Amino acid sequence: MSNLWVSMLPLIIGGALVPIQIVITILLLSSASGKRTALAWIAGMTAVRLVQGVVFGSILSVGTATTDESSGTSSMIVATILLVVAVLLIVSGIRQLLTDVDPDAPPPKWLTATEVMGPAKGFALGAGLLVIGVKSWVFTLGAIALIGQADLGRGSSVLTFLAFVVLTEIVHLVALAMVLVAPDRSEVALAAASGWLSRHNRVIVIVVSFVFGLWFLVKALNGLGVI
Amino acid sequence: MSNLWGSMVPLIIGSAVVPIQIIITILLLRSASGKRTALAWIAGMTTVRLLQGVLFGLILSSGTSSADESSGESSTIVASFLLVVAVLLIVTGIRQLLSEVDPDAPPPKWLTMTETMGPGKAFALGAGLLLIGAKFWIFTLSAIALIGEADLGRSSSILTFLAFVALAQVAHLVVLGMALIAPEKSDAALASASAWLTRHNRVIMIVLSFVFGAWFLVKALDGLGVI
Repeated sequence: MSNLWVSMLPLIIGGALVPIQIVITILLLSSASGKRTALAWIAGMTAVRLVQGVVFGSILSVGTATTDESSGTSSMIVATILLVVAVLLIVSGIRQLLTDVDPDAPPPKWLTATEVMGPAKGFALGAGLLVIGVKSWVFTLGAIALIGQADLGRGSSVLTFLAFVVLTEIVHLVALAMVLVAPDRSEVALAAASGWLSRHNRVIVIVVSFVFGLWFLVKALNGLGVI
Repeated sequence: MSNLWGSMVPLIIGSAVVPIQIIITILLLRSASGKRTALAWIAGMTTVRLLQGVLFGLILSSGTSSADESSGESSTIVASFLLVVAVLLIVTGIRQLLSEVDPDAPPPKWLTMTETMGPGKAFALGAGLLLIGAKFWIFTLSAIALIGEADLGRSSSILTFLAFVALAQVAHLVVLGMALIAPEKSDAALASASAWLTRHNRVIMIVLSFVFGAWFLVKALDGLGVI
């Protein structure tokens, strides 16, 4: 179980440390219908992750259950998906380094819409950003494959996946809680955090991409028996 | 063998029919040191694909050869790759449909440089574009996994991969061939092809993404025993 969480941790951090998404949460919190819209935006992301969990959880569990060598098959699925996660992260890091463009960043016109956004559009933005973000798909797929490989039984697997979803969204939940608990004091802190994240977005994405890309590459090569 | 090519054809078409890359070949052919520059651009792409072939061919072959259940493991690796390719393509299609931005498109400033580019920079552009294009990495990785699964022996595997690389670049090679054989007659044809591709780039990418995404999804689900 602890081994599972060690493997899941980089997926959680990679999924959680997306500066542009945190900036959106803070922008939404300071908009007209702030808290409800921010909650809807987080709900939109959560809904997509849960749907991905149900769909891919079913696919991968059938995939391993239909073969005799269930444990070996499961390890191969995990190693292959981690290899793809590694390649995607490293490619994303190279792209940011060379061009300043994050392929998973939201289109600029979506960002400008946050100022006047209501809860329904906030929900659609959260869902839409995860649907068009290749990295977030592959992170969730990686987590599902790891949970499947750990062979925890249905109940524990579902609970572990729900914990993964909550932890991936922990930064947004903390920002929301700060506004709910101490609306006045949180305003300055969140504005400063938003400014800092906007300034360091590129560096954070590059560091996360290379560090976790290499980590997953080592895990994948290990799983494939190469090292 | 025919089964292998049946699975490889969508990967080849997906790698070959990238309007923006074909437009770059045509733009380079019309620049100052046209043919040499276009050849260098194609050589840059070829070099990256060959390096990917050597690197991942070694990784995946040691992955399957180190396992006892080589054939089953290999099928699982292929099915997992195809599942990720399917997700990647469908996400790209949705992204293009919603936001008109292809996450694997070259940065605009790279495109404007083509007019004054020499062979050295063109080689770097070809290599760079494949390095920062997540789709192209995964296409090549999947082709390598499919060839590995077919268990053709070392030399046939290498020849099949070289055929994949040549076919993935067939559109560029045809354009270059036209400019070499009939430079004057090809000029007008290439200009109108470039204009047509520019107008229909988005539709072509959306159609290819959804058609091949669905195709790979079916193949992956079949490989994992889900359907």
